[in-house]
Amino acid sequence: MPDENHSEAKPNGRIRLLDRPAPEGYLREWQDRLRDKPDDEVRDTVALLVFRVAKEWLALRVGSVAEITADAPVHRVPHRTNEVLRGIVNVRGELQLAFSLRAMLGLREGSAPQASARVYPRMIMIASEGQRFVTRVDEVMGVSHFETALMEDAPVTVSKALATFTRGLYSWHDNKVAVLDDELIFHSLLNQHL
Amino acid sequence: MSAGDSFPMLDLYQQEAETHGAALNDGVLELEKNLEAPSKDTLDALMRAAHSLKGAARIVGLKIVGDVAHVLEDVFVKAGQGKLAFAVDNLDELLRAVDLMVASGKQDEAAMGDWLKANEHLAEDIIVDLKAIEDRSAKKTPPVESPEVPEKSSVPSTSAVSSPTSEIKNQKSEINLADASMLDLFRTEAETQLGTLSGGLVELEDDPSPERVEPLMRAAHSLKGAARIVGLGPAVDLAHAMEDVLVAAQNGQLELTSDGIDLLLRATDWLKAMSVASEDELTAWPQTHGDELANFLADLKALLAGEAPKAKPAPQPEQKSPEPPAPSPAPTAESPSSPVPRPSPPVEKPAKKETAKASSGSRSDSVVRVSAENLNRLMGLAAETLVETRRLEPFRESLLKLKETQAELNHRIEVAGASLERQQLPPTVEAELHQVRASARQGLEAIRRQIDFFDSFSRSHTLLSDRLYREVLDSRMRPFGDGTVGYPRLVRDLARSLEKKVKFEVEGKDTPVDRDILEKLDAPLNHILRNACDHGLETPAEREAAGKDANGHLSLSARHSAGMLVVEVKDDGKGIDIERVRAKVQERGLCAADMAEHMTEEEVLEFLFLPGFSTAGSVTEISGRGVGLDVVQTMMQEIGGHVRVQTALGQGSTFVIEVPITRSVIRALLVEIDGEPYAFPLNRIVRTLHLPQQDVRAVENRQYFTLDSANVGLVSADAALGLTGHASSISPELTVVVVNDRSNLYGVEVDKLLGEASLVVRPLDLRLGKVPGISAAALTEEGAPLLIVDVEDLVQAVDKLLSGGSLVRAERREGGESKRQRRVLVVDDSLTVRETERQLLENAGFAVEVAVDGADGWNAVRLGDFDLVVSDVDMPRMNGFEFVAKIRADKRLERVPVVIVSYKDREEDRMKGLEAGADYYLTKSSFQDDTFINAVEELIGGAES
Repeated sequence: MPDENHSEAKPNGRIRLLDRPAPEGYLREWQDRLRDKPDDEVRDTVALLVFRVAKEWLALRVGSVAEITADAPVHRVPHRTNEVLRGIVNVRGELQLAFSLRAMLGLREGSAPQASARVYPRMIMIASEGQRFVTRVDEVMGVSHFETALMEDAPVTVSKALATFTRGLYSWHDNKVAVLDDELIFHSLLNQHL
Repeated sequence: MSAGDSFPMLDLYQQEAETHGAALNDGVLELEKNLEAPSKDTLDALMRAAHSLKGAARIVGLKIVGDVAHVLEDVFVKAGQGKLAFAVDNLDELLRAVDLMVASGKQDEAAMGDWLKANEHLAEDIIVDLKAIEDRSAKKTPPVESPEVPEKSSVPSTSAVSSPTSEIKNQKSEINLADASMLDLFRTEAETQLGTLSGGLVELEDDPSPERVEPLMRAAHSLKGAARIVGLGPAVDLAHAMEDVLVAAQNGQLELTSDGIDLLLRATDWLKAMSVASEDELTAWPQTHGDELANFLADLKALLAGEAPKAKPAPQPEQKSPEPPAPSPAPTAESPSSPVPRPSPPVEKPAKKETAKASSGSRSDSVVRVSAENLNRLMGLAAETLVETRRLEPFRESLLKLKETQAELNHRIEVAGASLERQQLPPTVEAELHQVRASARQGLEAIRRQIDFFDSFSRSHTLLSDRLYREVLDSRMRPFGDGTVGYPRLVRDLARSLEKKVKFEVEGKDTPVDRDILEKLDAPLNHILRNACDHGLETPAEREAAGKDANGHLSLSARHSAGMLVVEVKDDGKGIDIERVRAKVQERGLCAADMAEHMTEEEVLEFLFLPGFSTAGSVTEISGRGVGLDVVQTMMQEIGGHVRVQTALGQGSTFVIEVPITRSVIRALLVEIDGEPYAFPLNRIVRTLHLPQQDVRAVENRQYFTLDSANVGLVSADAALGLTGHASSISPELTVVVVNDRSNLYGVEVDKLLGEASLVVRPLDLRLGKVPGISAAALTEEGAPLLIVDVEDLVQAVDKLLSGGSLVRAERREGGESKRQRRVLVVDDSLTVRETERQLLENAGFAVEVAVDGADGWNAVRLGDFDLVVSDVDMPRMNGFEFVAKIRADKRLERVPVVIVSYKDREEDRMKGLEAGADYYLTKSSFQDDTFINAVEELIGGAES
């Protein structure tokens, strides 16, 4: 590398790439940028598992979801099965209690408008303090991160039960996703349906 | 639930005193760890517990307890505000107050009045002491550090939710429990060592050779060490004294008589009781059992002194062979309380024969404790692996199909190639053809290799998962000997008290048995052994008169036979007089006289297992303990087994118990009911049959059919299980499973039979409770859930159905439609307050639900559609103010009226409650009169809308 310019910069006479003078205004730009740290740089986000039941897009805190498995048959339990509590189901060799989120939220049957050719129903197992329940959902979309600041209140127009269980709404791919209150779901299952 | 006149709801108070007492105990101990800067959480928790107890005690009317709790609460409140600091000796005062409160929760209604009187002065003292803490602390600077603290804090208690450990001082011994996990280890160790002691001592009676003493001495020694590690002083002392006696016996300085062995056995029992005591009991042990301990120590000392005066045995038990009695420096006379040199076995010098000690259990296989939940999960995974393995075969078949397709393709290529070659082909095409043939051959070869590879994988994997599954199932097994540890002792004590001589043997100790079955065998075997000692075996005099060995022989044996566990209890006693039993059968009119005349011996003996049938002339203390042979039979039948007896007059009797080796795997018939699979255990099925419609006869509401000239009641499984059932298809035949319950037959109509299978029984989810007609669940081979029918239960349901009880079901929703009860949610962390409020409201006609704290209440109020909420203020997780604020902020709930009921009666508290949004602020004194109910009715009107 030729060393005709700025040879005084290095005692050994060699000059490196980073020894170049900074472009015009470069330092100022960085000063400004570092000084005016935008507020939204640090955002609180929450990871949610997004899924669909009937026509509704719903989400649960990732922390409350223990497992997602393929759809499996649910066996009714005499004298115990009701609208919400459906029966027992085999998840990885263990029998778990299955419930219907659709019935709990008072959702009507139906499917998503843009149901693609390959839609698989799944079982979602939720767990809290040693309690586990499994519910069937029509489609699982995966985990998404949402900014907590962007959560909207649930509108009063949705079904009463759904509104009760909804913590709030997020916009997601032209849809609204209702974030469910997992604690309330457990409370309801343990106190109202068992 | 009967509420007495003087102390209403005492049972609720007792529960509360237990919970809050434990919280206080925990909290004070927590304080001790960090006296100078106690954490805010700890003080808060203490304050809340004292506060709740105060309220509860006052509601129940325990004035002195309420007063103590009140002062205690004040102390904690001040400490929380930093106005007060605790010194080390204050802790004893705090604990004294806590003890009083805990004790108040242990009194029953009858004793409470006396208890209160007896403790009035104590309470006053405590109050004075507690107040003194406040005063002293106000004057004085923070406490001086006591030398006791570091010593105590050496007890590790890292687990955040450690169970209530507490410490109580006693003149002589002090129990300072190590944390719970260490205590568990101690219990396991004690179980082993005490088993060795108790079994070995009995053997010692027959053969008092030094070799037999040695393992006992080691057991006592190990026990002493283990007790020392967890800080169980009394156990250390006693084990040490026992060890001394045993050492003396081993050295030949002392001859153990039956009385001596009796003493040692009683000491063993005492230690056993201690080892299984709860932590709370242990803490109080020096008080409750101190006298017994002193007696034991004195007796053991006397035993030692009486037989070997002066010669002091060496406390170190390592010598293997008997040595001349070398006087040792350790004075036995003071051994109980004197510090024992080198107490804990694990850290002893390795120079001596430590290896002998390490294998003290003399058991060939070590036992590991695994939680039942872990085991179930493991079983589930192993079973699932097996299910998944079944998918390999279809995959292999699809590979074979692929191979065939490829072979077919290759063949066509060959044929086409051959016909092409008959013409003249341009060289390029010929080269192409060559390529195609080569690729086709390669393809086929690759598929063949894949199949080979897959075959070997599939074989080994299937084998492995099968092995894994069996191994997991086997882990439920324990050796039969694990269940018989107590029997030699039982027989020995019985024989002694009956003045008989009995040689008892156990055979087949290694026979594996499911742990559940082993447990279920205990009571029946106990009973049969008692019977044998009491009624079966004769006294030595009688035996000699009959020309038998004066020693009676009694044996217990276990073996596997035809997939069943066979347990025999055999004695060589007098046997059972069959003719006497026959006479008794006739006398009682249990069957026709001529029938009894012709019954075989076995048939006659069956009567022994009928309820209330006893041939014993007198009910003695030993065998008249309520568990009759009929109960034994019932218990065995419950686990799918039975018991019978063989006997020869004058030569003895043998009781034979046959039970399944395990209940975790059963053979069952799978059927379909209402479109879903169910299973009937094979051992309850008499037969199955297809029944033509026209053979079903109806009498009134009941349906019958005839089987072997007997009428059998018929019911549909749908109905018996309470399923709605599809409209039954009008098929010409019914599918019927005939089950038996003792002597009766019942026909259960099912949709269809699916086949027979071995099922691994899984318990039903506990949260479902006992489901009528269902005993357990299982998985089909395909991994789908199914339910196992509880035949006994189902039969009862059938009975009810047959006697016309089925119509009751429809009337569930009686009335109540026109008028709606107003609903009230009661939120309070005190059980007593909750129940008081519930009773007041329910008496006024409201429907009441309860929640235990603000967070729970917040969940409940959103789901419950309530007309009114009643809430406490001080609650864990979410307090009353936050709770009310949350309700007011919710669009759907903002109008629900809220009443706050609190102990706090200051104006500022009231303001705070009303600001949060409460409509009423009441104090708990409002329960005394109608204030509370009046406020409720003013807000929402009467109980019905």
